[in-house]
Amino acid sequence: MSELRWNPTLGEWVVTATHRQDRTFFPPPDYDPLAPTKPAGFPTEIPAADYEIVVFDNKFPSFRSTPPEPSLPGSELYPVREAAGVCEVVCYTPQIDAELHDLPFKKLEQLVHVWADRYEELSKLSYVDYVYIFENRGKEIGVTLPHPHGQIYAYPFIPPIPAKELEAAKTYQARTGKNLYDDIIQAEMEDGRRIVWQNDVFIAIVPFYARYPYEVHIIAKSNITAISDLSDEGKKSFAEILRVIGRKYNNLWNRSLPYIMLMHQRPSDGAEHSSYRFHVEFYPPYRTPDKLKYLAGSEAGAGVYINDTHAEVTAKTLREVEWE
Amino acid sequence: MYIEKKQIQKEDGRKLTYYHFPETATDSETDAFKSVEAEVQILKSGEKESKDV
Repeated sequence: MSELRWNPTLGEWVVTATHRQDRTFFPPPDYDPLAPTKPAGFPTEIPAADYEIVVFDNKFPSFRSTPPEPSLPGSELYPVREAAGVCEVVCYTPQIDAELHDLPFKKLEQLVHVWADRYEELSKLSYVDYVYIFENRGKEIGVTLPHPHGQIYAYPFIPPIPAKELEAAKTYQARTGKNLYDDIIQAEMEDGRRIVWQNDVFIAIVPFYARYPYEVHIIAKSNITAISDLSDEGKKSFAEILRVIGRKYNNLWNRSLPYIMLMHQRPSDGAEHSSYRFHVEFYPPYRTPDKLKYLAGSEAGAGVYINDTHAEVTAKTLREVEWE
Repeated sequence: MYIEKKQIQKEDGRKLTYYHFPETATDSETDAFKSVEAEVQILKSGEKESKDV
């Protein structure tokens, strides 16, 4: 049972999804629900003996294309809506021990094309205003299925964080006549201290305003506002920079680094969003090899992040980490 | 890039889409894709302009 409940104090929706309490939680080692279904083997989510990339509706979705009726009627103070939308799982390798950044390059490039296709397909749905592609990696983030996979949430509204970014970009453009992301990129290129890596199409920085010590943003250098805007060469460049950043993360402390990887891009609400910019954000929770940055009182309750490091220092560290 | 896809409906009604990349697929991957009973949709045209269903 899922529904949207309006929070009048913050002006945003909260999703309740009570059926998710029973979702798959660390299945036994000999059962991998995201592996192919082998002949005479236990049925998995993928009813084929092998696969390249497969995308399917989440078994425990927070949003559905045919949502159930809400559990209660709602009121003028507390509106309630059906949780219409889509939740997809993206399985990009049949191997449980594979990692995104160590896939053969062609496979990573293919995944970028799949992401672009899903963005286009889900954007066409009349009840979808925002397509959100992301991956949670590591048990520290809350991952409960060890087989590598990403997710896509197609929301019936623009979520608060992208909405704030969109508004900030629009306001900046109206005030200055310039694109916010162009100015950020120019400032970073002139400064240099926060650049981690770049190619012709993208730049990866630890942002000036980083909230996590090793937070990285990958920003399109030209006015690309969605992944589907990328040409085939652009998609190749995107795959390249994802691989570099992922490998730098893994080589930082010589182990697979947990993180949230997410894409912010143009909503599909039909409005014009030319002041925005397609970008990826990484939130690795570790601030040292063995210390996590927790979202405690200031972050969770006041929305004010306390970063124990300077972006210039961690960017230099990441810049100097080998990736090849 | 030339890409093919097939969409099926799982037993519980959920949609599942297989993506196939003929230029790099192994025999096992190609056989698995061929065994899926669904119409092939061509995502991009590359060297091949059309595909028999």
